[in-house]
Amino acid sequence: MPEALIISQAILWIAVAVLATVVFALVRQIGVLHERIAPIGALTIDKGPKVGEHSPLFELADLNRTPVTIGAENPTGRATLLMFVSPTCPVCKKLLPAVKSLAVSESKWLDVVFTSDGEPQAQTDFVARHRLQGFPLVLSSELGLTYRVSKLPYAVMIDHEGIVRAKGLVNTREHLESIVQAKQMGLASLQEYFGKRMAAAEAPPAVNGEGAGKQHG
Amino acid sequence: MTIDPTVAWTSSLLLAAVFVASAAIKFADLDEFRGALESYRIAPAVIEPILTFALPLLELCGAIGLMFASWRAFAAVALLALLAIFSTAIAINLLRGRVYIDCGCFGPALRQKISWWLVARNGALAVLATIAAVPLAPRDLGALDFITIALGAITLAILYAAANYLLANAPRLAALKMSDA
Repeated sequence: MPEALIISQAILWIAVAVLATVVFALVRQIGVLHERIAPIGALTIDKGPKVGEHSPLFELADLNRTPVTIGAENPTGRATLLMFVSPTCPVCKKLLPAVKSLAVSESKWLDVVFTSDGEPQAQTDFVARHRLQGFPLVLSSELGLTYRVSKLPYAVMIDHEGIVRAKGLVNTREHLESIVQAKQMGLASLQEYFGKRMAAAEAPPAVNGEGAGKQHG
Repeated sequence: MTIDPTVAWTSSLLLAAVFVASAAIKFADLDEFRGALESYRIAPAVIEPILTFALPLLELCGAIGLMFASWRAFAAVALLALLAIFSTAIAINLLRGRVYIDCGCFGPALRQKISWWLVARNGALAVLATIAAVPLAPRDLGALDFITIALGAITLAILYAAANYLLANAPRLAALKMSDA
C-alpha cells in the first residue's frame, strides 16, 4: 500500500509540474499576442493630435533660452523630429546615439528637438553627459500632455507644414528609423508601415534566395 | 517552534530560485536596473550606484545562503528585510501616485508597472522566507520527500513566473480595453 501511494504521489507531482509548465507557456503566449495586436507602444493610448492633423502651436524656449517653435509652418521646408526623453529613462539613454546619427544622416531636411520635463539642473547634467549640446532641449510638460506621451522615449515627426506625420514609442533604432520612413514614404501611420512590412516579410522567401543565388552563379 | 523539513526545504529552494533569477536578470543589465532605481525617487542619488550593485548582490547571497543549513535562518531574515525594503519602496510610490513606473524586478525582459499586486506578491515571498527562518523539526527524509521537495519547488517556481507574466500583461490588457472603448 505505501508503495502504491508513493508511485501515485510521484505521478501526480509530475502531472502538476507539466500542468504548471503548460500554464506558463499559455501566459507567455498571451504576452506575445498582446505585443502583436497592440499598436506600437502597447501602453500608448492613441489620443492627442492624430497623424495627418496639424500639430498645436508651441512657442517654447530651450535650456539656453533660445526660442523654439513647434508645429508652425517652416518656410525652409525642414521637418522637425520631437524626441520626448528624460534623464531617468534607461531606454532613452541607449537610444541617444541612434538619434544623433539620424540627425547627422538626415540633416538636409530634419531638425531634432529634444523635450523633457523636471528639474532644469538634471536636464543640464543630462545634456552634458550625453553630449547633446548641438540640439535644442525644451522643458515643457505641456508638450508631453498635449501629445499624451505616457511612455518614453517617444517620437513625433512634424513636417514643414506643421502636420504630424508619424508618432509613437521608439524603443529601438529600428522604431526610430520607421518614424523617418513613415514620413518619407507618406504613410499615414506606423501601424500601416509595419503592416506593409509584415506583408512583405510573409512573401515566399525562397524566391529571393533563388534570385540571389542566380545572380552570384 | 519548528517546521517539517520537507516544507522548509521546498520553501527555501523556491525562494532561492526566485532570487537567483531576479539577481541574474539585474546583473545582466545593470544600466536598466539603475534606471528603475532612479525612477523610484527614494534613494539619494549619491548611493544609487552602490545600490545598483548591492541589491542584486544581496539577493544572490541570500539565495545561496538558503542552501546551507547553518546559514539558512540568517539568509532568510536578510531576504525578509530586502523584501520589506522593496515593498515599502513600491508602496511609497503607489501612494505618491507614481503608478506608471517600472518595478525593475525582472529587468527589460518582463516589464511590470508597480501595483498593490506586487506588494502582495512580495508578501507571499515573505511567507516563504519566514518558513525558511524557522528551525527544522527532527524527521528523517525519505524518497517521497525528495520528490515533493524537488517537484514542488520546480512547479511553484514555474507558477510564480506565470503569475508574473500575468501581472506584466495586466496593463496591456487594460490599454487594449481602453482603445476599444
